[in-house]
Amino acid sequence: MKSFFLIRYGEISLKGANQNLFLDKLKANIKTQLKGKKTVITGRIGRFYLSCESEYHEDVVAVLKQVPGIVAFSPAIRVEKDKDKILEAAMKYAERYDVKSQGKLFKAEVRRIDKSFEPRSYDMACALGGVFLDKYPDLKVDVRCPDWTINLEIREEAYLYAYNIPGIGGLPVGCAGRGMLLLSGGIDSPVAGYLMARRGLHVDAIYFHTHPFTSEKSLDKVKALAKILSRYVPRLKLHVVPFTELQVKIKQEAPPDETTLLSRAVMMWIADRIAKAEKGLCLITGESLSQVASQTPESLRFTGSTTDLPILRPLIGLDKQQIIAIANQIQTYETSIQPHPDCCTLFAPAHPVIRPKMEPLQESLDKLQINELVIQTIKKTDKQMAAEL
Amino acid sequence: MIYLDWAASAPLNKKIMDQCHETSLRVFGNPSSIHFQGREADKIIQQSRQALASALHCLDSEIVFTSGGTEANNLALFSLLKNGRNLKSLENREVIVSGVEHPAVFKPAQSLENFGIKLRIINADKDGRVDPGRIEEALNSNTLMVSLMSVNNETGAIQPLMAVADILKTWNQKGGRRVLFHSDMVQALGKIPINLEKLPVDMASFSAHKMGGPKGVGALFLRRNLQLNPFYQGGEQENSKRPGTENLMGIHALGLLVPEVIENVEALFSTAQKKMAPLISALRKIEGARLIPDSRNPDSKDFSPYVLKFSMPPVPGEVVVRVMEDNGFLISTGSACSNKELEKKYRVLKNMGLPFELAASSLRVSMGPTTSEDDLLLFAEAFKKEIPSLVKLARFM
Repeated sequence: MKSFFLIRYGEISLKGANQNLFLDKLKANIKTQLKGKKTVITGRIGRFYLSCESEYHEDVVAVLKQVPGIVAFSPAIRVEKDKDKILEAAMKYAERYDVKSQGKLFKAEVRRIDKSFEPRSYDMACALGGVFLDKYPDLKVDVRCPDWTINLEIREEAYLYAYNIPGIGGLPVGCAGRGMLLLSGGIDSPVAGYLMARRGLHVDAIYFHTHPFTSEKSLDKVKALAKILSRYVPRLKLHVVPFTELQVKIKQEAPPDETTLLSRAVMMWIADRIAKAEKGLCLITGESLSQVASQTPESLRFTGSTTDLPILRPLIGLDKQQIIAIANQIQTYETSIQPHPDCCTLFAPAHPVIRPKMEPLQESLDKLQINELVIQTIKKTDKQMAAEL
Repeated sequence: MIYLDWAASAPLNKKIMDQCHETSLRVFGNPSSIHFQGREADKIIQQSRQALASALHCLDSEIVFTSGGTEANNLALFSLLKNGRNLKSLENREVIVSGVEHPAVFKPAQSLENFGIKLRIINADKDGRVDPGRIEEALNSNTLMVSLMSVNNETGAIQPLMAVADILKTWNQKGGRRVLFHSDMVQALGKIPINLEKLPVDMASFSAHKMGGPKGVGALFLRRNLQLNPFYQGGEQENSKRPGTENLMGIHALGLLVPEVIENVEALFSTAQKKMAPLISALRKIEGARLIPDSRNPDSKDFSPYVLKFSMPPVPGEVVVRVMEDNGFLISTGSACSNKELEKKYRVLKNMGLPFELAASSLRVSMGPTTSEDDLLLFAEAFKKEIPSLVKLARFM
């Protein structure tokens, strides 16, 4: 027994000559997320068809809901262009899928792209609707305002489907190149990574670990978040940077009110180098304007000065409630709010500089003379596939 | 890796666990079943009950098996709400607990306040011990219960239970209303002698995993004729006091363990004192290290030699725990059960009057019978090598 899906990809249809690049990427991403489960994906203008053994039906539904680039999809039945066989398939569809839960009012709609097919659309729609009325006598036909529609398309074969399951839309991951997400254990950064993945970026993540000042549980939380993000980003890699030596040096040698900004700047510096080594084209952060002292325009200017890559900040204009709403939607919120108190707050100054001037901070950074330490830290960075964590 | 967190959970006793494993493959019936398998299972439970009762010097019928120390403590505290009691009669009645109790006593005691019961919290002295005189002062005609632990899980302080029992006896003899006496003895069993025939507590709580048994099993000693309010309904196990199919393997392990751990308990106490003394002495020599209490004396009979509390301010305790793990030693910051509640984490030490910085930096080394003096000395050496540099860093924080 096979399951069959009709997949719609929306925005990609608007692309011009390079549309195939997007389609190939989307197909590859679906395949990667369904690795180990035998599926066949074929395509035509405006949609893909995916068939698999029915035992994978639920897995496929779960994956298609999370692959950027898919606007919606429908469980469907593909059948030979023959009236009796189509009606037989309609009976199976009515048995297999819970159409009743979509509502009591329905209509049947038939599109004959192959005009040679008999009977004609109206007669076929009546026969098709009859199958569902026989099966569920309390259903009612309403052609003007139905709760759901059973669709029949007569193309090279006949396709039967009833309802749409929404996807997350956007563009296929990877079609916009690669970016490096500065991932913390908080609520914001996973959301930022998701939003950029949804615009076609292949996102990798980087985490700055300050053992023994932060706990292994904090690291585990970041790994769990990276793993959730890998549902949207196939082959997401997590880079774990051992940041303690640099953090301690900054704490010991820099002016106390500048330590947060200097640390952020050094993190950007390291992210820049690792991103470039991974052929990354940009950095991504979860910064939201004025949320904390390091996220004022002046602070962002300085912390971004250690990289020449563009820094994408998709949350910059959102408030916390909006960010939380997306975190809930992508299922990172519950993990992000797990309390793993650690001592990294001890590195935070009591009164951080809020409207810093570039020159003194630049001077402080130069004074630290940490070029060699940065290089050594990058060498010690650990890299793992998030899906395997 | 040297394990020095026995007070959180002791390594499993392999011999006993193997024996339990073998028995549980052979005897798997429901102890309530009337067939052979059920009878065999019930026999194991009754044998375990006898073993525990004999070790504690009490009656078999006074033992109620539970899922652990926390459940036993909760059962004891909530016994005040026993079936049929008019809750209005509890209004303005009082329960006395020490401020250094484990959260498994302190929290249920606090929640009794929802029923109108007043909580009287008795502060410990600087040495972590509770002055019985303060309990005597707090006693009045409204007092329903006194709960005082036997061995403190954080500092190792041994509380003067006998003195408190005498006070309650005198109170009763003078015509005062009967006051129930409960003691959390989770850290005491196998560490100090316990004789419930001589020590007139009404209720006492025990746990298997602090002694090398499995997690998920413990017991409540409930003096005969006392009633309690069972948490669950739906079974007659444990004389209806703790309904639910019994944790056969866990209870079996507890029954096998207890006679073993109480054997030579006094001699082992002295041996542990001797093992702990060099560590206490080494820590005293490290600049900035503070023993809790300051007066901690390795020969004192007032402290369990199996538990040592100290501090290295201003280095956060959890940072030291991680550094020591990197160096091959597993220790703790305090009560493993309360670490998740940061704000309340330092309640016990604050109650002793210690400043926050000392409490936030506090550490606990706890040992068991297989811990050697060398293990503790190696720990002291590693601590001395690694932690003073963190003090310098922490001063920048």
